[in-house]
Amino acid sequence: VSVHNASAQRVARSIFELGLRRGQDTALGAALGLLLPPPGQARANVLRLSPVQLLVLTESVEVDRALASVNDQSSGLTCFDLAGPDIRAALAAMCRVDLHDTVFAVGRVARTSMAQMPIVLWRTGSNEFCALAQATLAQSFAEALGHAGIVLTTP
Amino acid sequence: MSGFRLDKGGRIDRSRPVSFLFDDVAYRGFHGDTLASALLASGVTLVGRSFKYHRKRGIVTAGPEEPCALVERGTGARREPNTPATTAEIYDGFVATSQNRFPSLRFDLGAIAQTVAAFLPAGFYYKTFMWPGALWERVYEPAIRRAAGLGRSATGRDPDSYAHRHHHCDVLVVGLGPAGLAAAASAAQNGSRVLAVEQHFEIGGTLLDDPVQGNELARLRAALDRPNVETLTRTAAIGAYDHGVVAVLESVNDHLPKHARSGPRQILHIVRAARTIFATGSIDRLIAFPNNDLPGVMTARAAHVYATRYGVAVGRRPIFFCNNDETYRAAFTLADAGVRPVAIVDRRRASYAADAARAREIKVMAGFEVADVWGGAGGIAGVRVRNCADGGEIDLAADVLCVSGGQSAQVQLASQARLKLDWSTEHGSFVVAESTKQFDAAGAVHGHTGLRAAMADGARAGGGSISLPPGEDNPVSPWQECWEVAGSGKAFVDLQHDVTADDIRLAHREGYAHVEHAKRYTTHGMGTDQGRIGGLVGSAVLAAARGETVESVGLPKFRPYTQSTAWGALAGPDVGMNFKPRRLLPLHDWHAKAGAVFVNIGLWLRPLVYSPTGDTSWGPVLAEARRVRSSVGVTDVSSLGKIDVSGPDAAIFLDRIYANMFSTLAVGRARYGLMLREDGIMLDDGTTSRLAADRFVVTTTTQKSADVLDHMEWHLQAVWPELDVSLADISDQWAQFAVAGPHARDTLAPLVTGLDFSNEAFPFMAAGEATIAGVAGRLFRISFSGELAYEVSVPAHAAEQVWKAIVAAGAAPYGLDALNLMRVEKGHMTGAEINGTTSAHDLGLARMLKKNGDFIGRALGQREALLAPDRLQLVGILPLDPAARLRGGAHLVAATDAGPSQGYVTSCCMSSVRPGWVGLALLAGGRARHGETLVAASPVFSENVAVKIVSPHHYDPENLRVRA
Repeated sequence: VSVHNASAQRVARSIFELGLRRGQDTALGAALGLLLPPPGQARANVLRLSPVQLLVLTESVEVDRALASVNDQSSGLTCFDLAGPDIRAALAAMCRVDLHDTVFAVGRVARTSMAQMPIVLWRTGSNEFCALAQATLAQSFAEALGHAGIVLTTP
Repeated sequence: MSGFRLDKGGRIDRSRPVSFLFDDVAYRGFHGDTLASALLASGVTLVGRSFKYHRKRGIVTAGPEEPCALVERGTGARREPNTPATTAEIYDGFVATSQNRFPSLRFDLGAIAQTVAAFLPAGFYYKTFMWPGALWERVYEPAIRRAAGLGRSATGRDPDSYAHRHHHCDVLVVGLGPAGLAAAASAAQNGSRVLAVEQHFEIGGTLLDDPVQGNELARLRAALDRPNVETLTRTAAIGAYDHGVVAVLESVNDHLPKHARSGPRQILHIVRAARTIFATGSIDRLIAFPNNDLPGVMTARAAHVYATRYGVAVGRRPIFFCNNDETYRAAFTLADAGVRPVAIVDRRRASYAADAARAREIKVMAGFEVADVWGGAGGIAGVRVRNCADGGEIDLAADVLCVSGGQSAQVQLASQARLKLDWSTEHGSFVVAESTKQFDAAGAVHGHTGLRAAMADGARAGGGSISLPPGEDNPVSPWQECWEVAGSGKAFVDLQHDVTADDIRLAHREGYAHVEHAKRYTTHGMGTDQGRIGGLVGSAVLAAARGETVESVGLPKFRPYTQSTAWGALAGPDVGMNFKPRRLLPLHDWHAKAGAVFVNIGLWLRPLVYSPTGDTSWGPVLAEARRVRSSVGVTDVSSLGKIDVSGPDAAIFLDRIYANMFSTLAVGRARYGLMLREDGIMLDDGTTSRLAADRFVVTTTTQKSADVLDHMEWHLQAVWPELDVSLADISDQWAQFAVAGPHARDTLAPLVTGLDFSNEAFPFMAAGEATIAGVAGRLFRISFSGELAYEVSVPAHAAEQVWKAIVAAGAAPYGLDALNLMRVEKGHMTGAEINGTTSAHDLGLARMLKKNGDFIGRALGQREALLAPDRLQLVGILPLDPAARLRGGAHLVAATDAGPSQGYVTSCCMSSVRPGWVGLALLAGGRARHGETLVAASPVFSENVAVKIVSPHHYDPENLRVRA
């Protein structure tokens, strides 16, 4: 496949999945120190995947169970930092989401399917993304990135 | 025929000669030639043999609608059949071979079919070769397939790579002729994201054939040179689908010599456009007159295009046969190039175009038709022309006959997109009659012909306006119906599939009068060209037979793909090892080092057995199982689905999702749960543990983990949105190991802290949090093997540390085969028993169903038929002869060769605790039949094994060992 100016790096990150309790948006935001982003968007290190499901990329989360249920996903999800001037063109080979600026601006988050794998895709910069893959699929996802012309680098 | 290269003209690069091979003969052409144009320039007429009758065939068109000049392109594993010579661009070293002939094009043994042609009408194979039936598969079908057919596909693995690309835009424009260019330009001006695709290697469409409009073409091209427009050539839309999805195939490398190729051979663009505009234009169609398939008979448009784009004259003495003004443009182009038409035979008595021809001193035979044509050494030799008024006939010498029965709008894609088509008497074609939110059409396909009219319509579709070229479109005289000229000899309506007008009438006589039925009975329009140049003619012949108008008969529905498409392009990168992703256990590498033989279970790779020698026979499996039964073993069950169910309503939610009760489960305890589908059939089983009042961990089978999560999520979101519950898929976060065997507690105890691990404090079905080998995790006392067993759950990053500690403490690793063997002995179920047909009653689990309170599957599970006593029920089976082996799938019958089947074997294996085999089976009314003797019959292996029906619980039915 054609080689793009795009690279990927597997990064170990601490991740927690939060299940929001009913009507606790504001309270949970306060506990996390921010206004919760709307679904499909990220604010700081908080990714809101759905009205009730969030990922927080942080070392630890101390949240009252009345606000949210918490599951450590640091071993369950593998982070890939993707970058490069051609990264969007390269991702188009495997990603159905429209990554155009007017549709998927910086800060947008999507759960989608890439190379037949469930992936959380987060646009972290104009030519930067973070992709979260299930840990047991991380090897296959890394290979799929390679097939899309995205060069895997080691930190 | 005597096609030749004109001294000047065309869009080819005469400074770049190209040499290529066709049927092992070397020819020369120029850069910018197609195989067809280069062969025509070299005087080659015969390029193929027909599908059924092996008649000689030549080049008929100049585009992807080509029905006859289909070749095998390339050699070896790259050989690709059914490539239109009219679209294949040549390069130095290009190789193509003709198809469907043996031993050669000129002398084809298959042509003997012509001598028996009278016995090969439409549907002949439905009526003949009926008996003896035994010969069908072995003799008739292979013989027919060998005699009929097109090219041969390559047998080797495709050495090329293919890519997919997801493409999003506001406007997709398909076809970049005047209308498409105008649509793209006007949409681009609005700032829309535009993807503009053209199947030819140069954009422009009919503008390419009109030297007067060269400036217009340049202007439109320039209008697309903007950052919000992407233009792709050599790119054809091959299918239009629901939700506005259009499949667009880009040919990247097919036109390049090997050394110049890079990247994928083709890219399949999956385009999601807010709006797609089909500007697919129109093409000339044939007229059904006798011998209209002879090499040397071609469309008038083709003659025009070969002259304007490739500088090729298709003959020296052309005759034109038409019923429309458009055809005269081709005649004038050839005349301007110095090739004077012998005559233009026009069914119409008068027209603007005829007047213009006469002004150019070109002979027009108005009110005439072509009654017959005959071949000569190269192409045709003569044409018989008949006066429509008095029937008088005149023979004319000619070397090429250029035909146009009118222009058919290219409605295939619009039809796939379900746009309504209407008959246009003015254009003599079905044209697109409407637009939808997602699909529109512009130009000729929309009934707007003529340069300015087409451009104006394109600009409208593009949502803007553009300036039109000065002047006005020439006035056009009306088209006049001319579908068929009666006479003796085969008059084809489908040249690729050898369907004649008589075949259509035969279909009608035999009751296949609907256009869809006639299509299937005759195979009309079912070739790779989708009957583009003759489809409408077939409909018209059928209409005449029905005594109706072509408008009421219509066209058959079109379906993807619009052209032959390589499987590789559809598969894209998902081939070989990438066919599907692989899920690797956190300890995959450890298992591999320990000599595990892996097995694919869904996406997972799981250790089947630890056998460094690769021996997967029962020996090492039984050794692993016996080690567990007698001492202790450990197996990796990390692939089980694990779902965290939390929130104040978690218990209520589980009470409804499961068929048994969970709100009564104490914190620190686990329970086996049954999940049913809405129809009462078993969905999945597994253990669920309560970690806190508002927190449960559900485990699912490996196979069903995604389905169960879906099932839960859907019910939570759609059925009980009032429940405050969170679901989290924690399957990958937690590695899980089963430690099983009478010594399991002794082995684990030294590793466990933070939990009273005694039998009393942590009994069977206990669950709790603990530190295991220094890692914070969870412990469950549950057993699949039937032994005293624990499942240890730790975060996946610490899996290796904990696993190694357990192994070091004396537990021997065992694989999936041993795991399965022990569960069969114990009578536990997996997907073989919970197979989408069985209910809780069938599996002997009815007592677990809640008596009070509702749950998914309760109502429909009480249907009479699901409770019938003769349903297939789970039983155990034992062969009477311990030396006899059981087979999964074997049917249970009363005696050898005595049907009917009363059930079947679902799971079986060698036993670790008794001699020979044990099995589980589903048997009609099985629970009441313990003690009976039946025969497990496997016709596949020609085996009949006498078996005794027993309880499914072969091992420790009192369940004492798990509580030890």
